[in-house]
Amino acid sequence: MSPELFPKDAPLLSRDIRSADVTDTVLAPMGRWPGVSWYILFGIAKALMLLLFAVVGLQFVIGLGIFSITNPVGWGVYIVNFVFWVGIGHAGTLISAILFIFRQKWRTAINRSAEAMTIFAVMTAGIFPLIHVGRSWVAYWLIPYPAERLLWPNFRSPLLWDVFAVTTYLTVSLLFWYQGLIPDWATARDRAKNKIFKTIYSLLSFGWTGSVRDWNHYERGYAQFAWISAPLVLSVHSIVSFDFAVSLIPGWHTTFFPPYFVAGAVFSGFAMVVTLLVIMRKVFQMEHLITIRHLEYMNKIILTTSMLVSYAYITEFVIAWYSGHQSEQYAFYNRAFGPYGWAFWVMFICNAVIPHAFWWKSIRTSLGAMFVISIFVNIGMWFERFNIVMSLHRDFLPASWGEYIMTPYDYAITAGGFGLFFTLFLLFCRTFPTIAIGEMKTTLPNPSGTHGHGHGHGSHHEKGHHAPAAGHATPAHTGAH
Amino acid sequence: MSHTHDHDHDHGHEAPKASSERPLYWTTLEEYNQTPEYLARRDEEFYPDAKPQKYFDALDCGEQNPGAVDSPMQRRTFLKLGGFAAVLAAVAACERPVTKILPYVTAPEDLVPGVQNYYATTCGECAAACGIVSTNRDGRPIKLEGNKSHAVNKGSLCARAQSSLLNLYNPDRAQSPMEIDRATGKGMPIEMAKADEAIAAKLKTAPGKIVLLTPSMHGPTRARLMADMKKAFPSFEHVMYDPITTGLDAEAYRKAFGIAGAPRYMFQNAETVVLLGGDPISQGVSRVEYQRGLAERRNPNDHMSRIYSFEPVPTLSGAYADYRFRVRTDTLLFVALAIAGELGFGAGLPSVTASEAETAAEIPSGTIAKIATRLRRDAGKSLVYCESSTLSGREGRALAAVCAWINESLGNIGKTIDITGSPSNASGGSHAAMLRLIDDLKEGRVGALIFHGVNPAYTLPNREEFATAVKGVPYVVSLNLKHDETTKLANMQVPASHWLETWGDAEPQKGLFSILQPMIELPWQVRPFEASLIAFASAAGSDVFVREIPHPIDATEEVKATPMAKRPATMYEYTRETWRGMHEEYAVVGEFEQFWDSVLRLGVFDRADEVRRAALPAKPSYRAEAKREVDAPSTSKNVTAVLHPSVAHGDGESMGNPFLLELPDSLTKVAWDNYAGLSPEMAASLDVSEGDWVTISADGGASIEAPVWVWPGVDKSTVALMLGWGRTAVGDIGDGIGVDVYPLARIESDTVAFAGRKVTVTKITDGLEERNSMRKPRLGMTNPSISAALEGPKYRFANTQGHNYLGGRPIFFETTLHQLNTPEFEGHLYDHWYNGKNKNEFINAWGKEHKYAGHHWGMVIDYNACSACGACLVACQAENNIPVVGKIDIIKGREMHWIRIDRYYRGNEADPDHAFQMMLCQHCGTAPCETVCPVAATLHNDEGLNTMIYNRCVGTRYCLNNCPYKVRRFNWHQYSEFRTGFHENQKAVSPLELSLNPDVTVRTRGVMEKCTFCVHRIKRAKEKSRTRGTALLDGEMETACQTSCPGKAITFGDRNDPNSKLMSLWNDRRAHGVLSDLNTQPGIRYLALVRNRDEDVPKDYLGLHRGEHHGGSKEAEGGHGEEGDGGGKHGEDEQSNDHSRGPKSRGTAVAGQG
Repeated sequence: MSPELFPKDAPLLSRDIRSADVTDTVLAPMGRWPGVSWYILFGIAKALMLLLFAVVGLQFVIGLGIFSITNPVGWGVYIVNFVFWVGIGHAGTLISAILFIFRQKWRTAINRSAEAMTIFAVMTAGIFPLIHVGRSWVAYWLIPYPAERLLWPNFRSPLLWDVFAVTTYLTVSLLFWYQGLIPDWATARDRAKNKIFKTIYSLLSFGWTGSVRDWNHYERGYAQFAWISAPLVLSVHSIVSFDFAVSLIPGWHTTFFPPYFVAGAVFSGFAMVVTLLVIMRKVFQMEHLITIRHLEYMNKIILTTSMLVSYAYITEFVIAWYSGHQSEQYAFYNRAFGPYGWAFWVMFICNAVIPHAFWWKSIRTSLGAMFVISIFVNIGMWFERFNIVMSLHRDFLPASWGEYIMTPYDYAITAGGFGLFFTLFLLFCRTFPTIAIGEMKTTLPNPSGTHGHGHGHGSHHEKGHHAPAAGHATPAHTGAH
Repeated sequence: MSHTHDHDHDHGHEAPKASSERPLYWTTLEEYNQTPEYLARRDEEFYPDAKPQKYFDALDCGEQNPGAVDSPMQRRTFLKLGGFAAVLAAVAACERPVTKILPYVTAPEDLVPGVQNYYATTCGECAAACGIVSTNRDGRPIKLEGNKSHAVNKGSLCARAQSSLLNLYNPDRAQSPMEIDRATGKGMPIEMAKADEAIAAKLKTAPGKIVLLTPSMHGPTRARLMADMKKAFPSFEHVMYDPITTGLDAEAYRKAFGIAGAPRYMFQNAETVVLLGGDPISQGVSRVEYQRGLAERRNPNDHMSRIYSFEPVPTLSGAYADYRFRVRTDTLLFVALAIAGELGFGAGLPSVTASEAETAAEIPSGTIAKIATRLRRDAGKSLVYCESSTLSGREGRALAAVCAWINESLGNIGKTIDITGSPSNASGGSHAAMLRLIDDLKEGRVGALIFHGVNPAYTLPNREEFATAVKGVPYVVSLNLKHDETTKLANMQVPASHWLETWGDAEPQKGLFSILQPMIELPWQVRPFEASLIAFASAAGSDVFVREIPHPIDATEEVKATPMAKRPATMYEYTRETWRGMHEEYAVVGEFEQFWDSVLRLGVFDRADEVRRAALPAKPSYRAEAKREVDAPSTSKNVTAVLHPSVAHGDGESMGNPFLLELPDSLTKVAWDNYAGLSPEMAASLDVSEGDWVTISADGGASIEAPVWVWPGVDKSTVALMLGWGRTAVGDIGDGIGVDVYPLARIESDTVAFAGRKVTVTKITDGLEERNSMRKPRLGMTNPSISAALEGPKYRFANTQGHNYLGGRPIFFETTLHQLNTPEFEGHLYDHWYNGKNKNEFINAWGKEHKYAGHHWGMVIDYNACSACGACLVACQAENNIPVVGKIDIIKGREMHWIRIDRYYRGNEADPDHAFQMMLCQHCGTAPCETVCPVAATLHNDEGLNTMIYNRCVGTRYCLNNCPYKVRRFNWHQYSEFRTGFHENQKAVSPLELSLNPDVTVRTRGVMEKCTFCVHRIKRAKEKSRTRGTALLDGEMETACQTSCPGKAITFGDRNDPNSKLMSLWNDRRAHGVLSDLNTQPGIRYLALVRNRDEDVPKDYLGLHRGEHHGGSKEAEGGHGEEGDGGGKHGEDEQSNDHSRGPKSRGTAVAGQG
């Protein structure tokens, strides 16, 4: 096993946790009716989601004109939301793929929900470019299919690269996520008492038996997916950043956008994971599985990426000054001190100032503090994209400068994006194993329930640790061993 | 299903399966054992090759059943075919709605569907009577262009003429005769014949004279008609009244030379022009002609004229001038007299010294002397011009007299002013005649009043007096096109036809005859007003107009023996009779029919050269008379109002024309509104800013309320108010828009004075929200945020340009004639602007330039010839079916104009120089929009055009974002349905859609559009040349904007033709691309503005320094960007930034702001 980036002397989880507890805890929400608080949250989220659908319907009937987008700001909150949600979608794959490759065991508590978050975020993100086009009903023309008129899309356009990047990312993330779910579905299947659920879980688990062969295939497949996903983490937001970087608009035309965007995406993605987990571990009594240490590690990454994006913010200004080009210089001057300067300062304070609180251990281990800070980061990252899109409002010819006045519809689709995301996520919380049970057990200090040495016993034992996931509630070894 | 799979996986291949020959399910042992008997029996039943069991196996298990491979019908195939069949069935069930068209029963002559016909006619929008060639498709006019053979406009047209198709097709026109209840102004439709009888009966018994009131009109047929009417009704009298053309300068020349016409100014012959409150470009009687004349002398490579302008309110002419002095109206006479005195012509006139005038007008000392020197040098080649609708009253008359005096003394008569050869007929009307008529009305001398084309109940300041007087007239007939304010006072309305539905003629200048031909007849109960007069006279029993109907040529002898039937002459007959007379009078060689055909074809019959005579000496009594006109000038510090017309709206007659309402005023960039234009100084002293409300009350009690527009360049004690707004009975679009400012005009001696009335301006502090919400634009879909803003305390203007200053950017280049001719600045100016690096050069990563094999289209725009009149913009809108989006969408920044005219200020905030930049798609060689479109909807074609494929456009708007010029326009709504500005119901109002050009796609919602370089015209020109069999000639292909441009500032042509006019300008030393440092390789080059100034030019003109002036004002923000807290500050900051980098930084011409 490769060395951990984080101290390994202290186990992540309490020594008292038995593997049965893991299974019980994770599967518990799936087997009972949700509480009132869930219904309230779900009601709010769903109302917002329906609001999104209603506004989109209105848009289809009346036209894009109901929104604030205008000349010269041809892209408004649609693209802000798109980039924001694609960014959110980054953490999941980063956590599951890259941390997997680096054998960061602490990821196991969070990777499932982070991946779910990725998928829902990318789904939410995907809606916005679809509805932002003037004629959504022909948006499929962006897909290179052999049309009867032999028309192909323009392969030079970054929007087309977006289509490839985002769909690839969604597909790979979905498959990766689903593969990780298969053993857990099997566990759920084996514990299900209700016939209907048993059938459903049986279908979902693809006949998983927990045999060595199964685990062997699983491990190989999982690793392969991890290696396929890892570059995607970098590529997706790089390509999204090309939407801006490839243009010649001051404030957009910037070569370092790809790493800057990836750092920002990881930043916002981790913040969103923290926001969600702080609630989820509380609501589903998973405090012993998703521990403060997990969250602390995440906060460290947030701090790191915060400094990365801060560096990018400063670099942008320095380069603009250094370019000697009036439009470029003005674009950045205007970003900070123009009509939308407030948005810049919201962003700057949220992203570059507030996360520095995480230097203090007491803050990065305080649930309340990290929850608040993670929300600030999310706000800041939304405004980062707002700032970038808003570069359009004053570009080259002062005569063509304009303003961008948000309408209630813009707020509605922005809120609706959150509604859609949380609706999906809340459904996920109730119906999916929210923690990778099998993997979680590998990190138990005492996987077999005897006070043995759970850690570092080599691959032979590793296999054994998976065994309980194969459907046995007791820690007894199975035939697979 | 997956259970089954599991089952198969787990057991399927382990359990020994029956031989592949054996079926899984069987009914008999024979079948199970596949006995020969069974097989034989089966083969009889099925095809020999059919293996039913396998068939079912295949359906069940698909390819996993190895035995199914050779089955003819596999599961997937079945599903495919089944699905396909279902889809086919579903598709077949869909049916497009069936729409039917009706073909002609008998097709009109010369009409080929889809092929355009061109007919000559004459513009009737104003008395200038420009020649028009109407483009007709399928029997309807779709576009008006100037007639190149017509001496007045030589192929150009103004914005108002370009928009007049929308007046023709305007559904707000009165569509049938109406009997009007004079108490309420409401009308009841009545049959035309009954109306004629009723009117004739009243006219016959009219207890007094019969007066016809019209605007200035001319032309042999109309003259004859008036004479004939006099025969029919001996008491008939024709009064001409133009609401805003005072005719004072015409009066001055008539007095001086005893002539009948009005002076015709020939700016093309003038090397020095002094505009004393005059605005030939937007207010001149013959605007297009004057503008062309001015522009002809603005070529810095040739003799370039110098224009001085003194004016209280910025006008297009003032902005176009080399020197513009903002002065109070009452100091213009000081300047005029001082110039006369300085030239030595002051004897007998009140004496004003140069320094007195300079002090009074607050202009730099030495100005008068310089102007006088220049005028003396250019004696006979100069022009002092004061024709202006704003100058009126006694002061205007004095000014006109002094100007005529100076021109006469300088020997300009006959050279730059034609009064004797072919003088203008365009200002025949006068205020005096109108005021006399009111007296007549009051005195009861008028028995019947007939009016056409005038609206005194709106355009007179004493409109109540007029209305009362009209109420006393026994019978009033309106021949107006609309049920307007004055028509409400009439007994009967017989709506007139639009001039595009009429036969007739015009004589805008002596000896220049121009024909009117009808282009269409809309199916309404309307009639040319001349025909109505004929009908009234005939119904009243007069036989002046009665003509016999000749028998058909092939009639039998019997029929021919009977007397011919009689009926009143039609306008066609009547016009032809006139021209028959002219055929004889001018002794035209050839048959009349030949002459007539040639006139119809050419549109004009030009005898102006032949009637020209030598200049007349001034009448001996003239100087004494002139002296009596001129009082010693006086000036006060009173705040005065100046009511000024605009190029688009004039006196308000075409208010309600959507194109004109949407046309942003070039100087303020505000559309859909007028305003109280206050100088920054006055705004500061009143503590008001844009969108605040003020009350403007005059001495006599008249008072209006208007929202404020802070307008740099307005004199500091003047309130500028645009005429023509605030109509109440002009139709759905025009009613209630803007503020009616006519009440602030005043009657002074025998004219209506539009300027100089003392007013008090006070800020309104209460009830702002109510005022603003009352004036909210009426429309359907609004942005709720904007809606809220519209009801806020600030009035929201629809201005299309938010920022007025360049902020030190190298976008607009200007220099001075002096500088241009300095040896230091030899060679291409670009070398100086860009420190020796010629940015016109192409930088290409691939090392070679793309070669365009055939044509390579390009355009050059000459700032020197462009006066920002907006004709190009409206011409483009009419040609390319560009929709009207309405005020709210303009506030949102969504105007659809493919051309915009950017206006930048240079110099100090209060009195800046203007810079106008016509901005349209630059058709970049390396277009940023093209690479980013994901569906390749915008592409470069092989002739260098940046093309737009509407069908392919998905509407990502990436191209719009990436366009550095921001010239792309997106259809946020289905604008094409309310192209007309009828927002309330958001659909086309019939018959306005008839004005659409079938050659140009009507764009749907959700697609991008932009200038196409009139690609449909290119196609047509190429087809024409192909049919002809010769190459396309240079200049044969003209874009719509180019054709219309009165200044001929636009040149379009082939960059592959080195001898083309385009290429000679393309490589001019002034030529440059805008933003070409981005390497977009624009297909449009601009010729830098050259101002003819003496001063040693600040170096920043040539961009060697940037933004030296620091004393300047803070950047004034326009309507956009209100909420920005930091927006106003960038100017200073950037300036200091620039400063620190010193003079070696890259150049700009127009420095940020003062």
